[in-house]
Amino acid sequence: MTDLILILLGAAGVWGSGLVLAQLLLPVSSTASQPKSNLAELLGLGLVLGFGITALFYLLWALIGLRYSSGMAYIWMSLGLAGGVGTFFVRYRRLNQNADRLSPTSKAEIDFRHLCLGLLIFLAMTTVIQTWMTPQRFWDERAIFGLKSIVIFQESTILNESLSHPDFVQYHPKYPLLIPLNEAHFYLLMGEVNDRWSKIMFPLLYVGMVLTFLGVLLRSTRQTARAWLFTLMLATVPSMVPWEYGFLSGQADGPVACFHTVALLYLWSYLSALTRENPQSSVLARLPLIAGLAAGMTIFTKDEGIAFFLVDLIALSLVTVLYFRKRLISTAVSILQFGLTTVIVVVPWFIHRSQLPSTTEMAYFSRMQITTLAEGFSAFFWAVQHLFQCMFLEAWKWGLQWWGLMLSLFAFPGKAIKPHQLFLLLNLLGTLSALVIAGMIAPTPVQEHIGGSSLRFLLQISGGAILYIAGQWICQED
Amino acid sequence: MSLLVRTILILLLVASIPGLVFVWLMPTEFFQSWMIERAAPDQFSQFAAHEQAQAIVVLLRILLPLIAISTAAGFFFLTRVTHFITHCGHVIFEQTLINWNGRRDAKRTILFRLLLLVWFSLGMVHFAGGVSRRIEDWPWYHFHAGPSILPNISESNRDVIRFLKEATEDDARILVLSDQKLFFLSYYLLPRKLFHPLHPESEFVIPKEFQQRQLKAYRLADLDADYISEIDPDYILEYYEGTDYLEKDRLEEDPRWLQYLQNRYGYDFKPTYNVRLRKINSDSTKSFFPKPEQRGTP
Repeated sequence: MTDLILILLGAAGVWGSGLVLAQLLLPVSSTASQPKSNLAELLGLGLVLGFGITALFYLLWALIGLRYSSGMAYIWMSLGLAGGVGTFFVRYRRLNQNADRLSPTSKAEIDFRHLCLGLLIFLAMTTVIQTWMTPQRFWDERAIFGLKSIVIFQESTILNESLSHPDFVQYHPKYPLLIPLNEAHFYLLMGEVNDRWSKIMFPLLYVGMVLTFLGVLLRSTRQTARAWLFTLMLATVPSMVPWEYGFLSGQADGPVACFHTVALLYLWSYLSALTRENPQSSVLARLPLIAGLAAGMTIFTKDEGIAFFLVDLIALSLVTVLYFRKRLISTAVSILQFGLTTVIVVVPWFIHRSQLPSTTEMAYFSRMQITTLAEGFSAFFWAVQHLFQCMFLEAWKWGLQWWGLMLSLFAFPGKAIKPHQLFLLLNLLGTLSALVIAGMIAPTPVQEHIGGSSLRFLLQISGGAILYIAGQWICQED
Repeated sequence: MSLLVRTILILLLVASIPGLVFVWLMPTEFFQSWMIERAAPDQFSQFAAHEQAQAIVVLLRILLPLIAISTAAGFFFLTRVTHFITHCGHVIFEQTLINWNGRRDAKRTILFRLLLLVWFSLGMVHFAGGVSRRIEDWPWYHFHAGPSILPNISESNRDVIRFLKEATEDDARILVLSDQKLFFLSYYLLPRKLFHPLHPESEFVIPKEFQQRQLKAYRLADLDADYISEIDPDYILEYYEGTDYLEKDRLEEDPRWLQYLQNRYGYDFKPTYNVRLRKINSDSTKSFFPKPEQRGTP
């Protein structure tokens, strides 16, 4: 029981630290007509950023030569709780003051909002309970992340001999530490290893992603009821929940889906704002910053984040060249801001990573050569066919997001090429291409490499597909 | 609308009240016997049925009273509930009407509604599937932490982990020579540190269950003294299961391993794979150094 209370307090502390950061980052509107952030966005982004900055804090703490201790974990939790409560009340007071401006227009809409909120709370609670009904039991969650978290807890630092030794038994020594450091935070609070309670972060990241999605959509449209509907769609993608490799497990794919979706949300929101007549400069300045933070956290969760970041940059640049040539400099500055924020977030990790052994590393970038690609060409057709099967023919198992995306694309073809929607489309195509290329150059047979991981990869990009669907159906004309 | 809501509430009440009386009054053993009778006769299925029945009863004992209380509250606030449902239906109807170029668009409206209908129906099916899966898993996991149940690994891995926990100190450094990937052993044996020189040909090979795929591995004789000194192990473990490395004449070489297995499975039990654990002290490393021509650096 004590462990449960400590885990809940620890999670609240993480959330609180994220709330402080989110409050600082979210744009504040200066006029009533400007879109404004809302409580859902603050709570969601706070939860997502909370796990990110907790891991970054632990990383920097160890890199400057300090050791972890239970006392330090308690102080971080207490600071988070105090900061979170303070932020929440400041924001709550401001919301109450602006209640007239923010309240929905009709009683019917309030009732519908309550229904959706009830369903989301129900989904969130059942996800937490289902997550806790299993300990960590899959390959990646134990061999890569769980193992590192226990070593970090027991050695009180990431700078230990075990994690730096090429023959110490761990899978992917160079894999990022966002998950292990958060798990170690919970172990430090409990004073012992319990690989069931430490899974709390995964359903909470699911909740954070869903709330941020809702918040951004509410900020982007006046069709609030549709924003709730699409949020419920995101919350019920079967491959995210209740598929056991999704947010119910300690694998990294759920967290990657969360951070990547949040990065896409803010880039999408930025491009939407850019297409408006008089975009608020503070909004344009802050959205790429938040997207950059989320992209950095994606990289700090799993190496796929690097590919996602590169695809984000390429897609953003293409959309800028196609649509915003008249504001090329200001848009280029925003892209730079996004890129630099990501780089700043991941630089400490990459400095540390360079000292880690490369046992079992796939080394995709060094394999990216014409000869390797040519050798793996036969894998191309197999991978494309396999992806097609997973995305469309087995939709009843993994969700209708890819069918929904195609239907939405053809339902509103004109809208599909608007900057923010085209960005998502390019992004999804880019990430799928990255998966196929990875299958072609990996040192393992494509059937085992792509065949064993494609579903988890598709889970990571499903949030982008739902955002695309929402963007197609939420329209100004209605 | 009021009549429809009232009918639904009556149906819910009819299902939940007798249901909750039944699940609360009948002993758990009654449900367990019922499920055991319908399960396959093998030991695992019988055990699963026994535990799953308990999980279902606990779930129903929570769920049915909640439904009954909500239904009773629904009757009490009938007008409010009716308005609530009417409002929600109205908003859903209105918000799924698609306007395009200032006109109602019937085709897109149908498409959108169909997408939402199929989506949320599928969502409900998967949610039910998730609950069912948790009940299926309950017998094996309960609310235990991983190290106490060692989930999702082979029986041989479990035995080796339990044996090493008995035979070695918590802070031991163990050099392992094996034809397996040892991540789960490493995970469950922490804070013991396992070091395993991985054969380059096995680095990217994904193992299959029951040794269906033989991994290349080093034998003790392949390692040189400098490498072993650098690892500085407290123990050296040789653990081979695959046919390429199995030495049938050495299955019973380690008396402690043999004793562990016989204590666990009976005195007639014969090991089927090689496990040899030896304690290393500062002088003993020289005693098993390989001949110079056999040495290699992993």
